[in-house]
Amino acid sequence: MKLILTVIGKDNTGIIAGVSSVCATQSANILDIQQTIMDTTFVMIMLVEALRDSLSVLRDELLTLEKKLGVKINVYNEEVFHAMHRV
Amino acid sequence: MLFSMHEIEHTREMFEEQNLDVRTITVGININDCADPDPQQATRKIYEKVCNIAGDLVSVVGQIDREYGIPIVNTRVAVSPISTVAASGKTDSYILYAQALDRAAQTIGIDYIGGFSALVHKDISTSDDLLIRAIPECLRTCKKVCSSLNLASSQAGINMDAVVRTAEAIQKTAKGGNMMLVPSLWYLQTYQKTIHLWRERSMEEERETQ
Repeated sequence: MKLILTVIGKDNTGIIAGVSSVCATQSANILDIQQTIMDTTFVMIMLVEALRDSLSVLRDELLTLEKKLGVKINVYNEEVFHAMHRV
Repeated sequence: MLFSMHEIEHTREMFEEQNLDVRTITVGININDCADPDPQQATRKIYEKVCNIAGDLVSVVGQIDREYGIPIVNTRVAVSPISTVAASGKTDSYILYAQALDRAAQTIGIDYIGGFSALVHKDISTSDDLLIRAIPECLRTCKKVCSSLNLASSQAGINMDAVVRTAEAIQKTAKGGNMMLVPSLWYLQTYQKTIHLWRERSMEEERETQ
């Protein structure tokens, strides 16, 4: 299943490394990344192919990482965006 | 990427900042086949049917929530109007039925169960009357049961007798305390209408006595 991860927060070192590392440990393949710095705010959107069975663990690990890095990480199913933005 | 950064940010903002969510997921259960002259048997059948059909509702909703990343606020079960199901029951109080619904809701862990209801837009039957009488006690003693009365339809018009009975039931419920905020607000909204109806009725009664 395809997931869209959004990461927003104060720019710091190790954000991409941290998120990528969690994805790798849960066998989630990163398909695409868009990242920018708006003023001092780090904004990243990541398209990931993840295993349905490891989704809960992936969410939990990203939640732990979120607290560690001081950023906000959201995980949505790609189908949500299809429903919202495509006819 | 298939979606632009703007589209993704727009959706994220709706969920995170404008509190977009799925308000409730409801399982509708027809319990008309649970009718029984013995209220104990009827309530047992209702309890078992609700638990059998909606037993997995909370876990399934949790799975959907996790899979899509969309918050789902409430899980709910809606059953057929109890006044219809209990009509054949030999009892003077419908509180047993409300308690069975409440027990079932607590067993399966849902937030609300709706159906302690009557359709009185055309007329109030004996069964509807017993249900309306039981509403104050039902809302006071049950934790998860919701009650409703259908008072009007565009085809049948408004049953004004039923409006008065409903207002009385709401007032009695509110006086009993232990009310949540939302029914209290409903009570306040209905209060003006209730007073008005009573004034009309009492003036009519006065004319009759003169």
